[in-house]
Amino acid sequence: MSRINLIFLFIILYGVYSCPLASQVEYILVTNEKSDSVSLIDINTLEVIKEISVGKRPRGLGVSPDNSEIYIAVSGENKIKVIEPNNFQVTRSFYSGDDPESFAVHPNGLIYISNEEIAQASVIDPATGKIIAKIEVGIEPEGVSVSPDGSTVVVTSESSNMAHFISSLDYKITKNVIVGARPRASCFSEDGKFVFVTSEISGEISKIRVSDGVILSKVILSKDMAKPKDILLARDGRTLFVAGGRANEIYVVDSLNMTIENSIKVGRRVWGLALSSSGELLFTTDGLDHQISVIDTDDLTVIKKVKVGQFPWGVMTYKP
Amino acid sequence: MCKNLTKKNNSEINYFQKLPQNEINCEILVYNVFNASKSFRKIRSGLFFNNEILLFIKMIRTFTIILVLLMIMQKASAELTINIGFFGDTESEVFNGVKLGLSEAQHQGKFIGANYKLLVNPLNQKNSRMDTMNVIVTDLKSLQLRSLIKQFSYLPIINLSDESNLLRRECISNAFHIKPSEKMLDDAKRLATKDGQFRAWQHSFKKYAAQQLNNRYLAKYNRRMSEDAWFGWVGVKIISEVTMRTRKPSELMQDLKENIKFDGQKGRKLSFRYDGQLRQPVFIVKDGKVVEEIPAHSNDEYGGLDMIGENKCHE
Repeated sequence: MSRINLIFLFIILYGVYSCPLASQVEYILVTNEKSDSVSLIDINTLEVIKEISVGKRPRGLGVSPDNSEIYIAVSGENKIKVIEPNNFQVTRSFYSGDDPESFAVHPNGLIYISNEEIAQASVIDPATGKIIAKIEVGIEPEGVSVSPDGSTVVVTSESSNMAHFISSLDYKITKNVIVGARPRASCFSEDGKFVFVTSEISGEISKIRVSDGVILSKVILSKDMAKPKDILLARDGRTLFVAGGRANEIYVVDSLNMTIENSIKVGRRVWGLALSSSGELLFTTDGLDHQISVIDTDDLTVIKKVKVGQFPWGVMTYKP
Repeated sequence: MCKNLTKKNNSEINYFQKLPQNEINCEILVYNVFNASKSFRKIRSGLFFNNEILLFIKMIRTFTIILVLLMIMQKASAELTINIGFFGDTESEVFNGVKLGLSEAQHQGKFIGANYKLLVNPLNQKNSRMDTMNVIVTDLKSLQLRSLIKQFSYLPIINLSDESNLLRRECISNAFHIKPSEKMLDDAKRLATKDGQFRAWQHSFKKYAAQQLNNRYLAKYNRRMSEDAWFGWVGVKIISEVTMRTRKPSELMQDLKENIKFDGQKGRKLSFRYDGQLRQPVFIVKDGKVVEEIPAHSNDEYGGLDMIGENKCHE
């Protein structure tokens, strides 16, 4: 083999083994409530590369702890559909209980899901597809979040206006915290000591101390049309991003002293939020504009709007 | 206080009579537990006497009674009970809505130690416990309603069916009106950009979780939720919303007048105006669908809801 051929071989092998560069590959998945599909977007090009048909009225999304499966709550079919992330096709599904909406995947792999119509939260083992626990909660349960250490799961009930704290050891409710009208979503602080809950009708974000369920402080949004939905913690561990619903804005909130630091104009009826793995990009679902907005989290500006399916509801990122 | 957890024997029973009252139960418990285990050991080893068996049974009984009493006392102190009087037609859609509201209030109450009871037409019944009422919801109208408001001037009266402007203009301090007033509908007609029927609720409405409420009503009564039923549901739900937050049913009248943010599943913050009228949007319905919500949601005060149905109080 000539020296030149060796060099070529080296270049080819380098190409093969440099596949870890592929780890920069990352995707955005968006559930489209009215077009019964999930839009798959390449995070580098910000172009839709596939629309995956998943069934009637997809809403919540999540990923297994080992990254091998993507879960989609398909509300109109009472199922969780499983997308296999190599080819992004639905490979299997399992029963989720009635009308699944939001869910969270526990670090141990179990799925905690709210069943809106029957005032229940269900715990599902995705390996077997069996419901292993049913927990009675308030009317119209919605947002589900898991504490960083996995010990506590918070489910908000929209019509009973409380956040239920559930122990992941025995699936029993340990605390019920009354919050503002129509609580929709929650997220924990990095240390797990606090949980933040958005209340859509009262236009509030409550900061709850996990140890005793006391509401320490609230952000009250001044615009009547501001109806907060999704909430998540920025990579700095301190800033909260809150989707403002029909105010068509994202609120940037300092979680330490609960003050609004900024707002970012996005599309109409913004509900869903997700961050890129680096934390540099924030994605929002603008339901009435059938698009996602892409926000640079450094300078808090919208850098692109990407058209997706009809009435996008939830969004997540997936890094292989 | 449980202190001096020393062993006692039969000869020391008199000792308890000398203890201060608050220490007696505790000491008896200690004595009983200790002696129960002692007696049990004797029974197991065959060294027992008839008297000791009797004593053992008595001790178990006392122990159980004290435990049950403690549990009852603890539960009683944690429970909040709200008694809601209903005056009116129990065959009405309004009353169906009231019962749905009650079942939802009770479901909510289970998680936070609150209990809601309905006293139905208590004037007609013996032992109605009318004096325990915290609030009244009613589908009575005009003179009957006025008479009720006057008779129970110390209680909040939630009007579910009367739409008179005159009643609102009197700004009666204990009257709260769920049904839109005549003026509210007139103003809505003036602002409307589309044709249709004007109403406060529509059974086929889906937005703002209206669909979930409509489904719950349909599941309970196997019929569609009318606007009358919605008034009844709101009447009770708004009571449970306020009382679960304040836990002070005696102050309900004042608390309803505060700037409450009630979720009537219409996507807006609902609250009572100074004339007692519930601020709310009105729907225009055409061909079974809501084609317009009036007034349009804005960032004005109360989301713009004061654009419809403002009745000035009489001087």
